[in-house]
Amino acid sequence: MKILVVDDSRAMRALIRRTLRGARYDEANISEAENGLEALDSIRSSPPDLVLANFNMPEMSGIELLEQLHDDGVDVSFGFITSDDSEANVARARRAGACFVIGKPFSRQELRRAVNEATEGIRNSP
Amino acid sequence: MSAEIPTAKLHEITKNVWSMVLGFRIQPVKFDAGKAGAQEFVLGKVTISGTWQGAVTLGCSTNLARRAAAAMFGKLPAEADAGEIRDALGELTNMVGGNYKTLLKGDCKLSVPNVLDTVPFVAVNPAPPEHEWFECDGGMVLVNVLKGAAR
Repeated sequence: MKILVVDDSRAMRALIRRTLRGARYDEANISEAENGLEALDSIRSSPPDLVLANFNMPEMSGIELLEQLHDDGVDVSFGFITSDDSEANVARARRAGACFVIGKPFSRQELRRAVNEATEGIRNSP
Repeated sequence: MSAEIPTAKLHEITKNVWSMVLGFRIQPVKFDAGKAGAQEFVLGKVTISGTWQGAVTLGCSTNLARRAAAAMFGKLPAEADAGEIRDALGELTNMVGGNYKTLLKGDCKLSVPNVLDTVPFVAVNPAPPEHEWFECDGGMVLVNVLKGAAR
């Protein structure tokens, strides 16, 4: 399984990566991007199974990334991990097709549960 | 501090971020110039614009900032470099500011965090007594919300 973590904070990317490694994703191929533009290039060249993105980032935000992928017809499971999980942002994320929105700070259980649910079909496929 | 959200809520947000992200317990304390004056601080700021305009600043003493960065990067404090300390403090500021923003009414936008390198006590802005102060195992955390544009 390929997971792309998109956040402008290296510390947050490290924290997410560690949380996933400590769960059932030891074998996952986890890559990183520091903004939406970098992620877009990465997804176009090698689509992941799941994108975990911050909402608010410089260059291109997470929601702009998801909306661009939608416009491009790229179908990828997408979840947000954001400190700004306001009702308006959650609604916009849902409209754009996000599987989940997790607020920062998050618990390990919360992140693992959301990722498990979003990747259930992938993990169960032959 | 000048905002519609009660100070107790800001305390709760700050304590929750430090506890959940770092596993550190912080306790609110009264501002003590004698204790804080000898320390240097790393300061982060996010601005909020829209129906509510203002800024949230978060800072902590340099030794504590190093320990926080180490906790986030999963390394020893001595191994955390200046860039990692800035990044970690920026993300902690982003979380406190973002959580604060979700409590505000209306349509608002959160900026990306801006982090100042180490500053002495006398350069802390807004002035130290205007902040809410916390202690954490010998280190100090300060947080402030300022309402108004052009911060």
